[in-house]
Amino acid sequence: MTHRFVALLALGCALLVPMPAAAQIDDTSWGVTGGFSPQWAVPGDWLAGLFDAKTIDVKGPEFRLGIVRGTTMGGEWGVSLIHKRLSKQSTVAVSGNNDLLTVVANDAEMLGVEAHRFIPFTRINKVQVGVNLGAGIAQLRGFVTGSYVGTTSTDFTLPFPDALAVTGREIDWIPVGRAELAAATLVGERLKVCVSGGFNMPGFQVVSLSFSYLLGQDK
Amino acid sequence: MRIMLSRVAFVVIAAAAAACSPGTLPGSPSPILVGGGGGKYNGSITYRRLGGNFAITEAAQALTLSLALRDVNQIVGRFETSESSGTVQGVLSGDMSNGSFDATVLIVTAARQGGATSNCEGRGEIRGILSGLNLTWTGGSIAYDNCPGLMINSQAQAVAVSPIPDLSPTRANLVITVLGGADVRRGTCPSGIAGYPFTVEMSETAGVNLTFDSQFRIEERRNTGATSSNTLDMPFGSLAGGTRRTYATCSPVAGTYQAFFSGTDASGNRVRVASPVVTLTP
Repeated sequence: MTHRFVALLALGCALLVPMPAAAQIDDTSWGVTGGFSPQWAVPGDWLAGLFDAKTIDVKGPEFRLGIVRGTTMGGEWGVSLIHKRLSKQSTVAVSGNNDLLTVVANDAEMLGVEAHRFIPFTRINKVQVGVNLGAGIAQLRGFVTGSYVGTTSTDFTLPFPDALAVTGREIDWIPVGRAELAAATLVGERLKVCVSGGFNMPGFQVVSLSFSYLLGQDK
Repeated sequence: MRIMLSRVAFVVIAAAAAACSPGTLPGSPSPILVGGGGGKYNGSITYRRLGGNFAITEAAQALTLSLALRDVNQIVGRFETSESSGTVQGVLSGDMSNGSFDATVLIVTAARQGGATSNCEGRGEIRGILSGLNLTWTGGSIAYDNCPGLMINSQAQAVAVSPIPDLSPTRANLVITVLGGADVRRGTCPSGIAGYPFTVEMSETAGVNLTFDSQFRIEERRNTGATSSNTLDMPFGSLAGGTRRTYATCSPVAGTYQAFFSGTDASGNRVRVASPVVTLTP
């Protein structure tokens, strides 16, 4: 516990230490970006109606990797490959004409592309506070198990896009997007670290860590 | 001298011709063998109407039947006559040249009523005998869901004409089998309770895409009780030609299990197939 507190304190100090302006990249330049969210989740039955499901309890981690264009102390935009894995505890209950099919993620994921933009609206010392906005599309990949629970159980191994087939819908692609509150700061001269949280279609996430490393010339 | 040479040439040609006559070929055609993976049979079938106000052809009809042995003891097949067609799914005792089978027949029969002809979809159980190249089947009653009251029985005789089952390249061939055989012993269900776990495989073997109806049916008999039927929503809509899918089932009690699937293939043909009757043996 003490170690964790010290580590957090050190991170907080690092984020708030002023950085000399000479070390910053003020001209817009290209860079690379990446990010990780330990867990995004669809809370409760929030999107159940949209997918013709009775209940949705879907969660999992997310990874992002892409390119970005911006400045160290300004905003930035980019395009990233996103990978959302569904944990094996993810379930969707889908009602067909007669029965309730319980779908459990076995080896399911969403792989897609998202355009995103970080818009800072204030700065406190070296920390930028703003919003992360993004939109894109992701393909449903992998397999799920659809189960009819009864005296005799029946478990179908289904491609992920067939998870909602009993409702007459097959979904190969879904829109993804984000609208998060974010705080970003420089670590060193070129590395910007961002902590964010909020809406992350198709769910929410409490915390997400990301970085962007700009490749432009120092002033 | 010229006459002499002509006579010698004639004798040589005559001898050569005699050597090439069918009775003196160095080998003889291989006999048709049935006993491995299946065969194609040609013969005749006779239907008798047992009830109902529909009229059917009761004269003997030419029969073409293809059977294949799958996964230990399961036979699957398809047959055609001039006024009917259907699928056969059963369990074999013995082998394809000396055995017997009990099978479910899902049939479409042309039946006439009031000047109109209907394609009646029926189901029945048959018992077949395999002896060398010969196949016979006798059927109990076949009842039709969409032609109320119509009931028939059937009797067929056929001879194997090829060891290779004949498949239409334009009609989907859906094969339902139980991995490991249709006799299932007691084990453990995925939930951890004792039961009878088995896996059903659905494969399309003709390379023709298939679209399923929205529901399928399961019939079960628990222990020695009566057979119960349960209709479930089909959890996937189609099966691409040449592909397969599986599902796992587990019953907590002994008895029997059989599943029925139906759909329409890419050529517009109606497809109805059953699994073999799975026996859950204590």
